[in-house]
Amino acid sequence: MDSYVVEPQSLFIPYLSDVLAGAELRVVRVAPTLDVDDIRASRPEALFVDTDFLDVDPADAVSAMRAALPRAFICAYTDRQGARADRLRFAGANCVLSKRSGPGEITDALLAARKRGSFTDPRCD
Amino acid sequence: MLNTIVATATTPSLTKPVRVLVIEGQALFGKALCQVLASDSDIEVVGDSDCVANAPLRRLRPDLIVLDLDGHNQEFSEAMRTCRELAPQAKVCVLSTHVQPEVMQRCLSAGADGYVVKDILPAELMRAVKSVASGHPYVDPRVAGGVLKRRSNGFGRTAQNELSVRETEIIRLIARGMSNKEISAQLHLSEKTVKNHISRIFAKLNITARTQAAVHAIKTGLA
Repeated sequence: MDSYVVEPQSLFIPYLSDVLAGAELRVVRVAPTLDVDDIRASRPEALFVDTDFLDVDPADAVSAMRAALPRAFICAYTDRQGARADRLRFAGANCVLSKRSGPGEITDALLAARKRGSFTDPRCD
Repeated sequence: MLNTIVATATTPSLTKPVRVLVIEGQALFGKALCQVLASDSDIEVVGDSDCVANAPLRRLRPDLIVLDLDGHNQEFSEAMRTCRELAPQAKVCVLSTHVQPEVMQRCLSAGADGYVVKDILPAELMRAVKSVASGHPYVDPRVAGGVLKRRSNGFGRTAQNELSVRETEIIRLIARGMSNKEISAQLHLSEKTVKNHISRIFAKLNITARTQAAVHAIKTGLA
């Protein structure tokens, strides 16, 4: 799946891209901040967004991404304990991942979410 | 404090590789960080850990600890004390998601030798690590710029838009999802007084919603 990553931690991108590749997500575009117009124009099949750096409420951001790309696979990645995964899911996230997860856990979770339609790390609830 | 607010422009030369220990709560970011640091021949990554409590500080004897500000379960000052006690020779460079000067100042006051923001570019990270390792404090230029701006607005004076102690308490409780009624009970204030404080918080931060207040509290390290 062609994937769009919203992540400002640039030194993290090469490693993250390798991990996502393990779940068959191919990073085709990276943006440091949320730009819904750019997302809409890029038309990726999947979105991976680090919700801890957004200038807007994470659930609002996911909701805007879902509105822009109704059929995309959306993964929210967060380090906030009690990130209100329910709000992120309700807004349209298919997958809510914790930054506490190692590379293997991330790959497994993404594959599970793609297979079952959704996955939420219990640490984010 | 001003002499510590320095972002060095040149990379100090080192006679032997800097032994670096990475303590980073975000597992993937920690691995990425080790990979980036290890690509420089002046740096030897001696280990990584998800938190200070699990890090073998005494055994590894690092020259420098790259310490994640956001990822551990203990207070930052406590984490710093542990680092100082178990690895007194090591310099500490904090990695943070916060660009707010007050967060950086708290870290430096707790004894950190450097402060970098996590969206730093790899080349700048190397420069920061080598600078701190050779005894030159380093602070992300954006954060240092914020401190200088505040100073030029009148050092030691409370800025118009700075939150009072009471307002800070209240915004913390908002960030925990508490209602006005719950906040008033917790702080032994009337609901009307809480409402007035919240109105002032909104005006000072130029926001209109509790969610924005909560986001501000999280981003500035208040919550």
